[in-house]
Amino acid sequence: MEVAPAEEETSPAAEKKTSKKTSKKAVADKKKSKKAHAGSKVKKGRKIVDSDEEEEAQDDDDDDEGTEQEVDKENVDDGEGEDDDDEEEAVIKEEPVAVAAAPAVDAETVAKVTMLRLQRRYYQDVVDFLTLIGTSMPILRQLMVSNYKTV
Amino acid sequence: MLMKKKNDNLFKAAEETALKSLFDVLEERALDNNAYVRTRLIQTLITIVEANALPVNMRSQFLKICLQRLNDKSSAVRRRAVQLLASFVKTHPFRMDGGQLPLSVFSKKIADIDQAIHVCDHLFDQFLILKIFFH
Repeated sequence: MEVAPAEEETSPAAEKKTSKKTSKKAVADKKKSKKAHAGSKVKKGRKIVDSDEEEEAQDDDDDDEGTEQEVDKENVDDGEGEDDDDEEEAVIKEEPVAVAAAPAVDAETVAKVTMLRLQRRYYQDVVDFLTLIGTSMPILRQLMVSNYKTV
Repeated sequence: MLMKKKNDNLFKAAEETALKSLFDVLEERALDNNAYVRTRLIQTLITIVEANALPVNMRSQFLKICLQRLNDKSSAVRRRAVQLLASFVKTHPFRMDGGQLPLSVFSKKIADIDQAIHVCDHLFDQFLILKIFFH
């Protein structure tokens, strides 16, 4: 954080100028640090991109307002957000290890088993159909020889 | 593009729900007190089955209804039920093996597939154990 030029002005206009300068510098430093972290955030996907957009939107709003207190609040919030990001990174880095360990043989076996299960279902449907037709045969035999008629 | 796809999916889901509710109504009418209603129901089912418009997953359900109606007290319903049964046999969708339906062949095929699935599952389990062991 750089200090405003050392001109001893006690007027309120001068104080406002100095506060605006400091807030703009703080925002610029923050953006630089974000750019530096951007490389590490590429892997995190959509959620983090959305959070970045939200933060940028917040930054724009703050630029419009330009008060020191809000800049300080932002800095505090960003610190917490980065901690969350680190945790997410740790979680995401663990997942690809399990995926990468599974070779292509697994996919082939799974596809084969899925195909076999589908075939089994098809043949099971056929057998069910034939069983139902088979159960109807005695009834049809009875009907063939019956003379019972009710309208 | 995504919105269009989403709308298509929603439309399809709504269509399926409507179709299912219509078939549910048909199923209810099978137990109607009036014999004429039952007769007309079975006639409608014959039309649907011969047009191959009955979903495959509902065929067994309506075949069971047809078998129940074979014992109906009304002769007209029984006659229509026999016709419906013939339609079911004529338009069966199991034509992968040439349309012939020998029960023993299909039972044997199911047994073979069960054995193959068992072997694959066993191999897969072994592979997982080895992977966990060497990881």
